[in-house]
Formats: sequence, structure tokens, C-alpha cells
Amino acid sequence: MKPLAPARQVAAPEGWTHAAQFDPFEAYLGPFFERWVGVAHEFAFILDDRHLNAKEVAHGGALMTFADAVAGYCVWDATERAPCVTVSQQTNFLSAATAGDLITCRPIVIRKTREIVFVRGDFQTSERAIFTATSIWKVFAKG
Amino acid sequence: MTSPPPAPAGYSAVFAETGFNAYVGPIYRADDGSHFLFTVREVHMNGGGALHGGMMMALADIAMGKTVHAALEGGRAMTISLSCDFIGAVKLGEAITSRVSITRRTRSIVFVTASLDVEGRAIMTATGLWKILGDG
Repeated sequence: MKPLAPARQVAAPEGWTHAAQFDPFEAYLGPFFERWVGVAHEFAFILDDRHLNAKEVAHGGALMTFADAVAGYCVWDATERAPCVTVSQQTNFLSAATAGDLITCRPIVIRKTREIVFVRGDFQTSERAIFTATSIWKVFAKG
Repeated sequence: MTSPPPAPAGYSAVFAETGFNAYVGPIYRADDGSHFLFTVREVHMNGGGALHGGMMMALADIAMGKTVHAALEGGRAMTISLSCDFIGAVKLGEAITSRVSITRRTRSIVFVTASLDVEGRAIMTATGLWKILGDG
């Protein structure tokens, strides 16, 4: 698979690199960033005008999409990139974020069975918790 | 930003001049308020050739939020929780209908459910909580 170019050029914050994007909708909202801290794979994105609602705070749709993407990378890490789909996602919105905020997450696999992976991610800026998401993924055998 | 195509007869575009809704839209609301309509474009897809789950959740959130705000008649509310189950995949060019109902409204919280389908084929169910923002 060839990575897609993000819809907007945004420089990676210091210590982060651009995460490869393979889904057109993620590239449309991207770029997303990644870094490794020891064995932990972390992800980030920077809010801009494409991600805001009419009150100029982060739109739930943009945040849920980032969460879905982050969980997807996490499932890939846990399954050697097996094909997978989101079955369910639960998102709790804790506080508002706005343009320029760097939102980061270190997703974790809570449990992995043969067919199902449970993932959790807490998303924050440097100052506060923004939202949290848990998701359930169905993993398919590699074709 | 170019203007969205004209709304189909019997629908109006959900108001969005800027931000996420304008960027991913248009999303149309039936004039009788019964449902919302959204057609999948290339930018909404995932790498597997189906509608991206993030856009599907966004669609539920937008339809539910607009319905809550209509019920509040000028009051404001924000999503505090949204649970989405992905039932079926959606292909490029398909039109999604979103139907929303308010389960219960208290002084501070609105309980909302939504079901999304493509011509009767279920693709997502969602439940969410909206916090009604106070006067002061």
C-alpha cells in the first residue's frame, strides 16, 4: 500500500514524524503524527480550522475520526497489520480543545482474542484531558 | 470553499459556512425534520474501499446534535458521550439516511439515539448524551 499525501501540509512538532496514512478520509483531515517512546507507540494531531465546529472548538466528528485512526494503528501493531474493522467505538468528551492545540494519545490494547481486539485511548493536550475512546475491532485472517 | 450543490427537493443543507461541517459536507435535513441525508464522496472513504468509520460517527453526531438543538429551541448543548456500533459498510456514492430520536430530556441531559441506513440496509446505531449548557 502506498501512503496518501495529507490534504494540508503541516510540519511535524519536534520529536514527532508524519504517520503514514492509507485512508482518504484520514488524509483529508491529516496529517497525523507518531513517535515511539520506548515500546509505546504514540500519536498526535494539531487542530486547525478543518476540525472545528461553529463555536470554534474541536468537532466531535474530527476527534472520533482521529481516535478511530489511532486505534487502527494500535490494532495493526498488535496483529502484524492484519485486516481489521471497527465494530464499536465509545467516546466521552471531557473538555474543549481549539485551533493550534496538539492532541496526543498513547493507545493500549486492553485485550486481544483470536477475532476481537479491545482498545483504549486517552487523548490530551499538554494541559488537560480532552476526550477518551474505547473501541472493539474485528480482525480478519490475513488473505 | 466552493458552495455546496443545491439541496434536493424537500431538503435544506445543514447550516455550515466554516469548519468541519462545511469541510466534510454537505449534509441535508428533510424539511419535515424526519431525517438527514448524506452522500459518500471519495474524500470520505477508507483504504478498504468503504466509507470511513470516522465519517460515519461524525454523521451520527451531526444529525443527533442538530436534532437536540432543534428540540432546545435556541438553547445550547454539547456532546458528552457517543457510542456507535458499526453494522454495515457503505460504498462510494451511496446515500445515507440518519433518523434521530430523543429518548429522554432532563434539566441538564438529553438522551439521544440514531439509526443510519442506506435504502433500508442498517449501517450504524448510535446512542449519545448531550449536556444542556446553562444560562450562566
